[in-house]
Amino acid sequence: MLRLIVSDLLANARIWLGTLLIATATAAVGAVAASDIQTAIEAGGTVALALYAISGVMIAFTTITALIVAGSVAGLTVSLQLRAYALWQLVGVRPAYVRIVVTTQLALVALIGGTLGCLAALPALGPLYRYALAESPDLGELHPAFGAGAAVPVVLFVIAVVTLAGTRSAGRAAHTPPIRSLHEIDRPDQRMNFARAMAGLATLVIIAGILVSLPATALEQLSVPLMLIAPLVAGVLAAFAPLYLARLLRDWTALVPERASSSWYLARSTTAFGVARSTATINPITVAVALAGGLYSANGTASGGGSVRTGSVVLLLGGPLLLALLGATATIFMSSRRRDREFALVVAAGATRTVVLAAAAWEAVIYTVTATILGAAAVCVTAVAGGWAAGTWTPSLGLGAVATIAGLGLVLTLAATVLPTAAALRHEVPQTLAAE
Amino acid sequence: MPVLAEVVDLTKTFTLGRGGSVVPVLRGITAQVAPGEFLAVVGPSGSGKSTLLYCMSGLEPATAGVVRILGRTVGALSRSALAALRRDHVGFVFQSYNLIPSLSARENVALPARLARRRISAAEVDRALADVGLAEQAAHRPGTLSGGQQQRVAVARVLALRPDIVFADEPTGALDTESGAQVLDLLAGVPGDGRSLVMVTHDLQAAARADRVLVLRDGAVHSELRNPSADDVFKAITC
Repeated sequence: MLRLIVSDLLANARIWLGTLLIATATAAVGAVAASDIQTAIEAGGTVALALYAISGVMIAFTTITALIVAGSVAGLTVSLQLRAYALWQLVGVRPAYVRIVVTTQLALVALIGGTLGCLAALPALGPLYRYALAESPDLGELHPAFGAGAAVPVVLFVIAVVTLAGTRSAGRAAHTPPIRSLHEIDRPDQRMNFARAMAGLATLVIIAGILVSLPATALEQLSVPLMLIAPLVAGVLAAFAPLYLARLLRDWTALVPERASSSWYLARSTTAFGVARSTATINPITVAVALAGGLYSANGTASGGGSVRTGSVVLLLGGPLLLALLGATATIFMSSRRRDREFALVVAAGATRTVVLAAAAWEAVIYTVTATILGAAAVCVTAVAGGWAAGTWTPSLGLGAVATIAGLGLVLTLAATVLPTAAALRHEVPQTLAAE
Repeated sequence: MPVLAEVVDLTKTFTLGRGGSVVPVLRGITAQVAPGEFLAVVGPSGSGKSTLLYCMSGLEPATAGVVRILGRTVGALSRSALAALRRDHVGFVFQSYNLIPSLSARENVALPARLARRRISAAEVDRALADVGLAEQAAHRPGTLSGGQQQRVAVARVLALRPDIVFADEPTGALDTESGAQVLDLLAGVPGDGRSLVMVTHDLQAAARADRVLVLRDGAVHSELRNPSADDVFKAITC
């Protein structure tokens, strides 16, 4: 079994490196929150109270982002390898064994990534605290603590999120008839299931709870519950994505006539068909837009347009935003071998390099615009709720933050789609097609 | 006599790994494809049949020698000019179907015309699908079609655009006997009106339908047969 696990990890290094990167980033971001709590426990007094307030929001942001990003990546990791799992079964590996191997691989990669993430965070914690808390007189000289007691829960959290998210896909890999997996190399479906529905409904209940509590919250304290709404709405949108995302993609991309551009036509059909892959990229960008837009919208609405300190933004949002944008980029990188093959098919059908590169670029645009639509919708919920609770008819929409994150997301996804495609176009078509 | 495609003293080598040994696959092959001709390429596994097809069609660059399609030297063309030449004059049918998974059968058939910015009516696309017996499956995606059906869609894609020359690499290799015979019948209808078919195959009966058969061995032309029987092809391969 060990041999199978290791050889498969090596053979699909591109996919597993993406998973490892996200596990590492999740742990690094989690380490900041864990360090905040450990530092608070060791410091005690008013410093602890201040740090607990920060860590609460930080943990909420980190948890929501990690669940969406690591969950998407783990699911994609398995779905990209369904063909290999089918081949295992055809040579006699039992379905239950497939599930055990896949789950063990995920746990192993999460363990390594979790440990690396905690180690990587260690040297960054001091400078991060000094920068983020420089303007706070009580916290400016604080020395962050991060020991094994804080690191172990972070690693366990990463293992739990990655493994649980991948287990469902692993079960699907094990129970799908192998011939079907081989026949449909690119299975487009991403179905709604009980766990997704429950997660979505539970998040809706939390949002409802926050909304109910808003009228009784003092105006100066309104921004904290408000800033949680947008990422939570992003979580609901991610959970119910199988119900609407393909339709949304098809509908808004239909605004550009199919005859206008071959490259747009190809990008549109690819993104709308490969919903599992598209979802894995769109969800992280959605949560990034919701996090940043939600924070600025909440603060702007509750404080009547007051500004947010950069240090606070970096401390509260820096990690989750980094994780979300890395997640979107990693999902594209992970599935680039599949993309290479699809583009080789298009070249064989007569497409020029320009058309192929433009299709790759349009794909990034479709991902980012779709995510921005969803993220902006989540921010609007925050703004409307904030306006209602604060009694103002001019709620802040955090448009600057939304636009900034959307722009950043576009740059990263463009790099992730166009650069590997340009590299793949250097290979001859027969080689690329023979690689599957 | 004019030729649609030709290779002159074609050599192709592959390097095993980075800095590894150089393996010759094609050794100085010279061959032509005449208008209206059905040329089959046969030979044992590893003899270089598919590599010859890919080089001759401009999908794979030659290491040495000359490849010409419609009189244009492939090695002298820019990547985009070569893509345009393939798009406008060449059709491909591969062993593993190679349809775009996100497009329906109808959209797959229409794709080359769309990429060439050439008008192709829905009726023409439907007629191409009807010709291969798949009018009912026009809206289906490749993943929901059988192997034989997918290959027939690939053939319909080629037929719809009426390219000057069709290259087929083991088009019946992954099909059952009945589906293989259907696909072969469809491809055998390509030559004529100045259009040609070049087909790599292991199937002796399929090769016997060709006007001319090139027998490859160890990357070189071992023999050439005209209007052979399946027995002739078998003997040429085995002796």
